[in-house]
Amino acid sequence: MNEVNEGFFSKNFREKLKKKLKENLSAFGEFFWWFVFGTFLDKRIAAIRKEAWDTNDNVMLLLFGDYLGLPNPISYYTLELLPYLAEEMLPWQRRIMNRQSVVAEKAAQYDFT
Amino acid sequence: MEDRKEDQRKPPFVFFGGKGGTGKTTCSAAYALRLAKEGRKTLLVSTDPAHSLSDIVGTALSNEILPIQENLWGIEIDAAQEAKRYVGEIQDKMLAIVSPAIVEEIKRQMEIAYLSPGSEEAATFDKFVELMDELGNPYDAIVFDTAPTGHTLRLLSLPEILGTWIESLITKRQKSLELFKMAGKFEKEMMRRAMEDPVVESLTRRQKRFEKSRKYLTDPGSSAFFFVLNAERMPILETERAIGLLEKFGIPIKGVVVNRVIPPEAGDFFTARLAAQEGYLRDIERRFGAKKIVLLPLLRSDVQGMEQVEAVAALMGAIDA
Repeated sequence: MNEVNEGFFSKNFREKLKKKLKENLSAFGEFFWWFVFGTFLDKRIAAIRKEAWDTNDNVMLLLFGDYLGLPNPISYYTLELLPYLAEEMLPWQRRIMNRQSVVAEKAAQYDFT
Repeated sequence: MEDRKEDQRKPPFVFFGGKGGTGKTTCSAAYALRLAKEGRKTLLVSTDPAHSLSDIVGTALSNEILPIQENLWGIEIDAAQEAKRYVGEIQDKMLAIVSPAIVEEIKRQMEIAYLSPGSEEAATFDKFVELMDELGNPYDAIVFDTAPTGHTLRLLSLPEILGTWIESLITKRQKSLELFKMAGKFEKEMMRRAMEDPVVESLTRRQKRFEKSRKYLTDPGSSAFFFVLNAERMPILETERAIGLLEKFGIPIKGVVVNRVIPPEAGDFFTARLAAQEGYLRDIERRFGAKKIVLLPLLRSDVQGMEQVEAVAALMGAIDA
């Protein structure tokens, strides 16, 4: 046996341990991040996110209101935006048609518990 | 040298509008022919959905630019065909970007927009701006034979109305993107949405286009608008209303052409009409006196074919005087 045994464990074993530790640490780091995100950040951002989607829905309404029966003076020109917004189109229509209570929607934004 | 100067003083875009049946097409054909004879490369455009330009110049015209005679070209804008081409282009683009399943779902909605009121005007307007851009290459002047008053008013006021609408759309969209950016600090998907937005880009392009056409239309140095009317009560009133509206939109009216003026050498039957006409002519003078007034006499026969247009072209000289 030529290999010099420098420490308590074999070199092979030490390498393995290091790798495992690194993995665990990064897993913990990720866990910690999501914990912080979920506990402190997400709630704050949720309000902005909701507002962003709402404004986006309003823009969609201004662009494609004629599909819901609202006259739009530039419907001919908004047609050329369809390729970019086509994927949002169907979910948007579903959302806008299913709106039941604006008050409930707004209330859902706030944490009453 | 003198000639060149004279050329530059004449606005390159000339419009003839007015109540249906007053002779817009005849006047525009005659004026275009005049310009062509002066050696200016002239394009004659009909934006009237009920085209009659072909019948007057005696050449079958279509949605493509066709030569009529030396220095003179003609086109009849076909709104339906233009709209079809536009929708086709969008569909091709869509197939390249989104999945075919979604395209299938959305096709029905495209049909709705395609058939919606105003789409024909928008298509005509697009072609109209496209033609205006061709100025100088190869045309020196473009003469527009517009549709009856109501249609034309809508067409010419489009940039004003739609410009405002698009502007507010851009603001709204940018606000939503701003919010996405704020919310997207910790989410890649949100950030991606906010950063690359072809919608604002596309809307801005439209807005620029409207602004440009508006600049063309409102600059007296680049366009001149003439109203064609007859010495009768209704055309006078309609013309006055139309002029008021266009001036409100900032489109300058250069003058009026009074067509079918009964010549004094007409027989007994016309003596009474002649007397009534005198009154109306005075009325025209009173109402539109600040603008140029061109009188075209009632001819022995309808204007048809280039020889007769040429006879009218000689009379149109007063427009440049």
